[in-house]
Amino acid sequence: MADKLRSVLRLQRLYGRMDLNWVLQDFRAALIVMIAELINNLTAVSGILLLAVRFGGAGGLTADEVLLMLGFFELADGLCYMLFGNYNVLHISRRVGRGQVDHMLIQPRPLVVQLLTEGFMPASGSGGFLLGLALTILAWARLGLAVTPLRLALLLGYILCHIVLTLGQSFLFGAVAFWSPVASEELSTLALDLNGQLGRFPLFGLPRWLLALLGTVLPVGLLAYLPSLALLGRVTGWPLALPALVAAGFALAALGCFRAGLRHYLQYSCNRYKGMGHRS
Amino acid sequence: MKTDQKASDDCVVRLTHVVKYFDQSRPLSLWKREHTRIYALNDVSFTLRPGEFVAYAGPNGAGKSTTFKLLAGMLRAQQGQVELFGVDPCAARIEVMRRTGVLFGNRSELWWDHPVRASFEWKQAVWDIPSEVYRRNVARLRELLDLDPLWNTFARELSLGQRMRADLALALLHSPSLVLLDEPTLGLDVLAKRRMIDFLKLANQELGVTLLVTSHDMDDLAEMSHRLLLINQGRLAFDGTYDALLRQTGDPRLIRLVTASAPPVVEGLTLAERSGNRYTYRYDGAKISSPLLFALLSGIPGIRDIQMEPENIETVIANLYRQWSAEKKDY
Repeated sequence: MADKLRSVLRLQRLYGRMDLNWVLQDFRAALIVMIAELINNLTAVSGILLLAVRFGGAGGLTADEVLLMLGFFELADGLCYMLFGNYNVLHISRRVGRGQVDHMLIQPRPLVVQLLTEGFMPASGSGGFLLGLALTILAWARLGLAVTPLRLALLLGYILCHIVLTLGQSFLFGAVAFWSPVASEELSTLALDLNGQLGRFPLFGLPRWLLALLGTVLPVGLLAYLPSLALLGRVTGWPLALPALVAAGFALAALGCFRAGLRHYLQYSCNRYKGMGHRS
Repeated sequence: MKTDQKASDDCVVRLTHVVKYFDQSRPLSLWKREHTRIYALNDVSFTLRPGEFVAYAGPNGAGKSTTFKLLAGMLRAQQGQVELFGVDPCAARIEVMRRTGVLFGNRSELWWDHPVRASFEWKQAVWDIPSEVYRRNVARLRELLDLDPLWNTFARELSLGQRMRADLALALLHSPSLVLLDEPTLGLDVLAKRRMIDFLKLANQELGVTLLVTSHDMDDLAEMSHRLLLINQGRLAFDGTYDALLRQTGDPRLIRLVTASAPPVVEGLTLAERSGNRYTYRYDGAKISSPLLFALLSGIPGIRDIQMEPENIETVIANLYRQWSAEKKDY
């Protein structure tokens, strides 16, 4: 285990250095990508925030509370993107559907170590994370929230849950590409897009059955809404653990399906190969 | 650059009665489907010894790529045993990949948006290549494959030939005992192909690397390798040297005549080609010896020049493929 962890850290340093080299060596292209990413993140945040400012709040939250929720989403999602966003690790169905798992099978490293490291992009992929950090600090200050160990632990725990939920959904849906590579190539992207579109909305006032759905099977309510309510002290008791429970469920389901998919891959391989997106 | 000596004790590759099939379901109509079983490999057995340079050839769909995927641990056989260095490549993938280099001609291991050197540094870290070995191998490969001009070029800016050279060097960087090359000369021009062939021969002779190579270019394979494995419809149809193949196919030969008159008719000779007063005939060297042929031709007036040569291996194998296709062997 310790060896595996050391190997993850060493490889993460390698991929981090490669990302930095790419930014420095291909500066113009990298700058365009980073600016586009920043604009994309700002656009995603600004719609809901402007509505909340204009109407003095949205979905049962004040404008500053909405800012905290959006800041949390960007922070957690940005961190997830920074850790796993490169070379289609996060969009795993693309790798699977394009027959690129072969590249992974010829490396003398466990697949899990490869998946935990290859996507690391600290230089070119940190825009969302930094924006989220700035928004969270700003909202935290405007709301006058005290920085307590419990609140910090909740913040870190929910960030981890957000990342596990995002990866879990991507790998769970992405595993379908083992069976139907062409039709399912973009399934991970669709799952991530759904999270991006619905995960930033405050869900107050929705019918109970819909809230239950959005807190379990389609867990967009656990990505930012419930965590921000918890940080504001409006959630107590067992619901505090809901994101962790659902994240664990998704992680287990994704692991099982992905393993089954890999077994299928070793039986049937993939009948197509596209070079784009992995090495390229 | 020394290769792993552990492999020298036994076979590097051993396939024992390997069966690999794919089940297909084809729609006949909206409601009906036809289920068929396609045998990519059917009871295939062969071994590779350390230091061998073996060509693996066959018509399209014969099972070449399936074999390579089985050897590289990318596929699992339904029956039989696949062993590399005495272990199952699927079960001991990491161990096997430390000692094996894999190059598929239609895909690259180079990192597209990085200079060529970055891919080598990446491989050093991922394969845990000791610094001293890395420095020695990189220096040797850069020299042998003339990589210096490409070293700082982005992989995306390389020509196909340059990319293949860099990919081949990358496949050999960790001093593998075995290298699997699927179509390494695919799409290369004459000069690039020449360099690739020369390097592969050198890697085999001087570095002792065991090589298994597929190509559709039989002349390339004949020049590079010592042994040929021919596969057809999932079965091993031939395993031996090129000379043995020629003997088995009846020692096909060519004779080219330049005459002043009409093409001579000689028993046992079949006119294959004509261009002005130059005629090319095919004959079976096993049935007509050279002295007999000269004796037959000496009686024909007007012959100005005679050239004899063995049939091109490419043509021999093309004829074999044609024969197999016509027979439609149903295994």
